Amino acid sequence: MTRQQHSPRVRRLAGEHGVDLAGLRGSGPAGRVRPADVLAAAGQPATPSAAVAAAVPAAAVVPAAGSGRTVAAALVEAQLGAADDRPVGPLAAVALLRALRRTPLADADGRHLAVLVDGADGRRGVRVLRDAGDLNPAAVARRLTDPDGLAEEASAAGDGPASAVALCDSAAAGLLHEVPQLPAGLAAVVSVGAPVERPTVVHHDGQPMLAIGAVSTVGIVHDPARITPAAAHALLGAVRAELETLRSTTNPTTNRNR
Amino acid sequence: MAQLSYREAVARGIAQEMDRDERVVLVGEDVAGAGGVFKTTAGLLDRFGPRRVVDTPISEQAILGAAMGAAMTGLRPVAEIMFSDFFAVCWDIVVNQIAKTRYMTNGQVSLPLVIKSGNGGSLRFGAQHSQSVENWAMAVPGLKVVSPSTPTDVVGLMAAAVRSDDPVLFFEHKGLYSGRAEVPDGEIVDTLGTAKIRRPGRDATVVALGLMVPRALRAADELAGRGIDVEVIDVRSLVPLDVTTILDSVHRTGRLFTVEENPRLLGWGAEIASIAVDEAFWDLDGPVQRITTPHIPLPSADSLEDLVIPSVESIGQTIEKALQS
Repeated sequence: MTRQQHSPRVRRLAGEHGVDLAGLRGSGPAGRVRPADVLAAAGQPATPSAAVAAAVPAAAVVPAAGSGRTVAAALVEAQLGAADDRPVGPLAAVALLRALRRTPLADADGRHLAVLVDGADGRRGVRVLRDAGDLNPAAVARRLTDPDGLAEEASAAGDGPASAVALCDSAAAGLLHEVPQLPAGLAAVVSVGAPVERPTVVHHDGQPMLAIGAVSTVGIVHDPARITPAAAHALLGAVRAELETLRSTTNPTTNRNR
Repeated sequence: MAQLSYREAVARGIAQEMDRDERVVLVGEDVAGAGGVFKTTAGLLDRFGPRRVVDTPISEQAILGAAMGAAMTGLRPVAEIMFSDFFAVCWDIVVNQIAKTRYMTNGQVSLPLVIKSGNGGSLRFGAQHSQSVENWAMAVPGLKVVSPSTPTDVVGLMAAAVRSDDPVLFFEHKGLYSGRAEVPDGEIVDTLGTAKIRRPGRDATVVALGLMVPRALRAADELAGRGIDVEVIDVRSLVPLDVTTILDSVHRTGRLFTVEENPRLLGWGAEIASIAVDEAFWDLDGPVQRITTPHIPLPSADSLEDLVIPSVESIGQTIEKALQS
C-alpha cells in the first residue's frame, strides 16, 4: 500500500478543522485529497452557493428584517499591542476578509466585504463592498465613507456572489461590545469593539512581564443552522489572529519591495 | 478613448512627460530623425526640437554615459538602448555606475533616469537580437525594472518611470509593438511596483510578464472551455515586486504557475516561486510550476523559435496536465 501524499494546503485545512486525513477518500485524480474534500468532511461548503448570493442584496442599504431566529454568540479578546490612532474597524474588515479567504465559510469567500451600517433613518442594514478582497485598511475606510463608492456598488448589484458573513464596527460608535441582530440572509456577523488600554502580560525573552496594551473585544453572532459553533469559533480565532498580525505590522499591506 | 498601438503609446508616454517637465530629454540611436528604429519615438523631434530629442552615435556606452551625466546635473533623461541584448556592451555603466551612485554618494546624488529598450523574441531576429534580459536587470540592486504588456500600461508606467528619482529600466516587448488597444484620453500616471489581475479565476494563479501576458490570457480562455478557471496576473514590475497581489491570489487558488520568456536558469519566476514557498507554503495545493524558454540561445528559424518560447498551447497544456495530476 502506497502512502497517500497530501498537499500543504490540505494538511493545514485538516489541522484547522480537525479532520483525520487517514480516513479520508479524495475526489482528485488517483484518489488525491483536495481542499474541498477536507472542507466537505468538516461539514463546510467549499464555494458560495448562488442561492445565498441572491439572498444577500449587493446594493446600498437594505433594512434588516426583524428576526426571532435563534442565534449563538461568542467573544474573544484581541491583543492589539501599543495603542495607536488607526481606527480598528477597517483593520478588522481586512482581518475578516483574510480569514474568510483562507477558510471560506457559509457562502463567504473573502472577495466581498459585507458591513452592517446604520441608515439615515436610523435603521440598520447591510452594505456590500464588492471586490474588497485586495484592499488595505485605508482603502476600506475610504470606500466605506465614499458616496461615489456607494453608487458604484449599487450599479454592480446582481452580478456575482456577495458575502453571508458581515462585519459590525461597534468601535466606530465607541462601544466596547454589542450583540447585533443577525439580518435576514446573513449567516454570521463579526463585531469589533473599541480598543481599551489595559495592563497586559507580555513575554520578553521568555519572561512574563506587565505592559500597557490595547485590547479589543471581537465577537461573533451566528445562525447555528448555517454555521456550526466549531466553525464560528474557528473564524473568530482566525479574525483575532489576523487582526493582531495587522496591528503588529507597521504597514502590513504595502508592497514588500524586493 | 483612442485606439493606440503599443509603439505609439511609448511615444505618447514620453511626450506626456516632456510636455509636463522641460527637464525631460530623449537620447539614443535614431530616436530623433528616424523616430526610432521601432518607431517608438515618432513625432517627438518635430514636437520638442533637436535640443531635447537627440540622435547619438552608435555607442551604447556614450548614450548611457551622457544620460547619466545629464541626470546627475539636473535633467531627467530617457535613454534608448535599441535592442536589450546591447545592454551587454554598456553593462558596466548600468551596474557599476548608474545603479550604485545613490548609495556611494550617501544619497547626495540621485539619478532620475529611464533606460527604455526593445526586449524579447517572436520576431525571428535571432540569438543576439531576441533575448529577454529582464532577469539580468532584476539581479542588480539599485535598479527598478518594469515591463508593460498593454498600450495603456506603457503610457502610465513610462510616466511613473520618468517621475521616479531612481534609475528605471523600461523593457518594451518587441513582439507587442504592433498590438493596438483603447487608451484613455488625458494624462495617465501609473504606479511602479503594482501587478494587475488581468483575469480572475479560482483554480490556479498564473503570473506572466510582457508578451507572455496575452499568451497566458488566451491559454486561460481555452482552459475555461475545458472547465479550468485560472487567474492571470500581469506582473508588470519586477522591481519593486508586488508580492501582495501574487500571494493573495495564491491564498485563494492554492496553485501557482509562472510564464516566463527569459531562459530558465534564474528567471524572474524562480524568485517568485521562492517567495511563494517561503510565505504561502501552507496554502499550496501542489508544486509551483515554471513555464519558461529553455536554457538555450534563441534560434532564428520560425519553427524553432515558436517551439522554444512558451506558446498558448504549451502554457495551456502544462497547466491542464499539472492540475489533473
